Amino acid sequence: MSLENGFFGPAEVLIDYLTKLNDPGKYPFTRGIFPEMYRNKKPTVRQFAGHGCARHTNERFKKIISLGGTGLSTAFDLPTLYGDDSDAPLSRHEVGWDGVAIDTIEDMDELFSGIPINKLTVSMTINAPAAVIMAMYIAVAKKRGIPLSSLGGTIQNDIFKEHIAQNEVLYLLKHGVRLAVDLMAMPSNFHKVSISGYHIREAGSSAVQEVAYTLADGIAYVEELLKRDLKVEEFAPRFSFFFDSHNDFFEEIAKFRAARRLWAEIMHKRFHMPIPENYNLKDTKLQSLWCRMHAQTAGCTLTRNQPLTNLMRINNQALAALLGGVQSIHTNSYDEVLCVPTEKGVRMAIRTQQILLEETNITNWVDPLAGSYQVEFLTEKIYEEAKKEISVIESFGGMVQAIEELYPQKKIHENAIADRETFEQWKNDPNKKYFFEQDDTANEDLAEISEEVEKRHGYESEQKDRLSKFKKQRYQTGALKALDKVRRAAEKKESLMPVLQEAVEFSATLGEICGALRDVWGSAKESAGVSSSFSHKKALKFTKGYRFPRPVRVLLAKGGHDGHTVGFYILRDIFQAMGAEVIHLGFRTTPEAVAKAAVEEGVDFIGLSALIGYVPGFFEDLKNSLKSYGGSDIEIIGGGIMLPAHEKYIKENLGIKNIYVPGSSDFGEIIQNMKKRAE
Amino acid sequence: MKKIGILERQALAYIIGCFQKYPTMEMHIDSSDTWVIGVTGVTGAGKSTLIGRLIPSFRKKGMRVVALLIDPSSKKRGWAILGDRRNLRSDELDCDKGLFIRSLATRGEGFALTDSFSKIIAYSKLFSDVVIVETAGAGQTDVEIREHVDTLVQVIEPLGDSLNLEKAGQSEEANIFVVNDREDFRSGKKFFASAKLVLGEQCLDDGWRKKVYLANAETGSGITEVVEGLFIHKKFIEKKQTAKPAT
Repeated sequence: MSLENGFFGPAEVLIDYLTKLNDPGKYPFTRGIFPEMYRNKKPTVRQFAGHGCARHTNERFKKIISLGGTGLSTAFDLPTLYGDDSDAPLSRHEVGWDGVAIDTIEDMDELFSGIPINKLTVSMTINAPAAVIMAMYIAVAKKRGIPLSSLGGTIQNDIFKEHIAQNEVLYLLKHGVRLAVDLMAMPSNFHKVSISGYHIREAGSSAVQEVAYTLADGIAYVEELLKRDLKVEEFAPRFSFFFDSHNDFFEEIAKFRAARRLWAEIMHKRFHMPIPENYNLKDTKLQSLWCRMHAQTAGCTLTRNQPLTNLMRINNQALAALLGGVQSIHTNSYDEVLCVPTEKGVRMAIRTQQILLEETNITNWVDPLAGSYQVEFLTEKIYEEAKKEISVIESFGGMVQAIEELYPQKKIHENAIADRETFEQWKNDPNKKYFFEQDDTANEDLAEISEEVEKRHGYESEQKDRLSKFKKQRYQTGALKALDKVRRAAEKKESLMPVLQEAVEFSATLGEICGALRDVWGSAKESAGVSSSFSHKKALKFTKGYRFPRPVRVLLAKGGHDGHTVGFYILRDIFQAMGAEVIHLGFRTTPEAVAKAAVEEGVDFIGLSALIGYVPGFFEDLKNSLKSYGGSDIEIIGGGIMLPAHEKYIKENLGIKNIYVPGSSDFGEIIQNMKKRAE
Repeated sequence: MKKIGILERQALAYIIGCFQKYPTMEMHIDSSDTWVIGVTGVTGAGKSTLIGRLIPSFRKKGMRVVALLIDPSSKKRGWAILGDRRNLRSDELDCDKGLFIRSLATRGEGFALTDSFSKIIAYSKLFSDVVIVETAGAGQTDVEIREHVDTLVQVIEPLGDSLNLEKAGQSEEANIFVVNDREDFRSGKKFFASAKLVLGEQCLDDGWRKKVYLANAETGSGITEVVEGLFIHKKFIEKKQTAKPAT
């Protein structure tokens, strides 16, 4: 009886019920934060949506409400997530593509036009410029006569995980934290931070790392807020957490349970929230012990070749989240590995949740797997290992210092490259052939998806027109004065929230406000890299010890705003293992900057990852720029999320053979192609 | 604003590659009087960040700039991670046609400066008004780089006791010292004051009295003074040269 045999018995798993589990709703909340859980309140069906200009997403929101969505969740496009306006040079091919483009208070107003924002909760997934977006939202509510106290919902505003995993950062960590904490410290019912493990996991971490780094982020936020002379119970009840729901079914269930227990213990032991004698659900000290959770199914597990098979994966992952006792769920759309979900994709995602909630009767039971030897064993294991990893973070002096030392970034990268290696072996097993196999039925769906995607090309010009009209019509002096005020406030210590709200009300744009802060704080500094001797060893395994016969030079860059780095960093390790000279140009590059650098550096290869947006556009621009700099003979290795039609276009019309697409390509292939080229 | 043309850019890129591949390749290059600045300092001292600040100052004066950034290769497997170029990135420099940047790996030659190096510099001079060379390390490297540059700048981190400056391998060769006053170094100003006392008194053989500056490469404070200092040294050597009897 052991982990190897696949079962456990009472000898291995001692369940100390009162200290480790306790009843649902009771400390340490392993079994759920509420006594009755879903019997009393079903999880919120919260679907993430956003594309195009405000009006397009507004239509989609209304559709979601009519389909049975019980909360809204806003996806912003990359320029917005990076605090840039739609007319910024880097925004090209990204406007409205993977989310809604919001530049101004007018856009925000239109986004929620005809939607009763005082009656339903709204979630907004945005981080680095979250404070500005929230200021816009509050200003829109004020215009409608809705007080801040009547607004409910969540804004992600988790700057730590951006520095750890997603890289959508604007300023140095300390300034980013100040801006995020200014928002968190604002009194309101809104959940002003959603401490997120999702992106950490999607960047390649393990389940244990996901729990550990997320909770360590939580600890760091508590400490920052305590510096503002707030009491724990004044802010902690508004914390919410956001986890991934991945493939390993029982591990995931155990993960949710372990995270709840660990957080409750941290809040009790470290931040002195008492274990209540009478559990009064309105007691803010009790609420401070809760790890409220939102879960999203794992985007990184989906396949491109047979999109419909993703429905089953998503269902399994959502089921794990329900059995793990989360408060709300976002089910991915089966087509999101191809593009931003289509309407059909969203409908199927909502239906998946409805079937689980309405037809299986699982909502009738509270923590039904408690007492299972195996689930309790796994829960204890994740709890112990995550606790240990948190103490490593503490040994750096906390999360801020650990991030500055690149510790979590490196650990995630190590896990990602190891997982990738395992995966590429896994799929070569004949029994796993089904995963990549392309079947004909996929084509019909693709035709439908492609048709919807083609419409997205018009968003950029529509939004840019809208923005230029807005700027022409506004009271110019007022906007400029408000921006000056933002600059002055950034130099001081007081909360920025009031001046940010004033600035949006005076029609300053998102890009202008973030720019004003940049004038004072400077830009973020990109980390030097996350390679370690471990990842280097793994890369040598990938390349099977192959070494280029000559000094091959490679330029690596990320195009546009996107900060997804899993593939980017793995590729860098692979090149390094093959003995290449790697010129690291970094993030947020324009095609012209890449072309100029590539020509000057005399490289053999350009590795450009442009994960999100109209991907063929990036590569077409790069090709043209290379031509004008006289570098047409440089070979391009590209990566991005794209439709098969776009992939075909890049390969055939642009002549770029090496295209890496998440969910269908592998590095083995790319290594083979590079060998050919180098020899 | 002066530009480096498309063909010049391609030619320079190509020839540098050739010089690295074939170190023995000879080419007749007319010497030009382009100014060559060397920047040294230990890893992490802030050399490339400082260069990223110097370049716009030269560009504003209409000077064409070539920057050569040298990093070591792995001796065992030959790879090199050339990350300094990223530190020179900014909206204004990314696509600046009057600027040419090349990252060079040492390809296992031991010291930072290879045989082909003087040829690479000589060729770069043809296309520019100033060549900036960045090398890591101190001691041996400084002696080597001295031969190739007109003005040598050393970036110093204000760490430790400034009285130990010389022991710590600070250059005897440098004309200008920049104490990088980063925020995470608390002792920047204090260090600068004593560095000025220790180093600022020293004279090189040619009569140049060493200059010490305090600057923050991240924020740009103090950079104007560093640039002024560079030009003072430029004038100094020009004067020396014209004073020399014709040979």
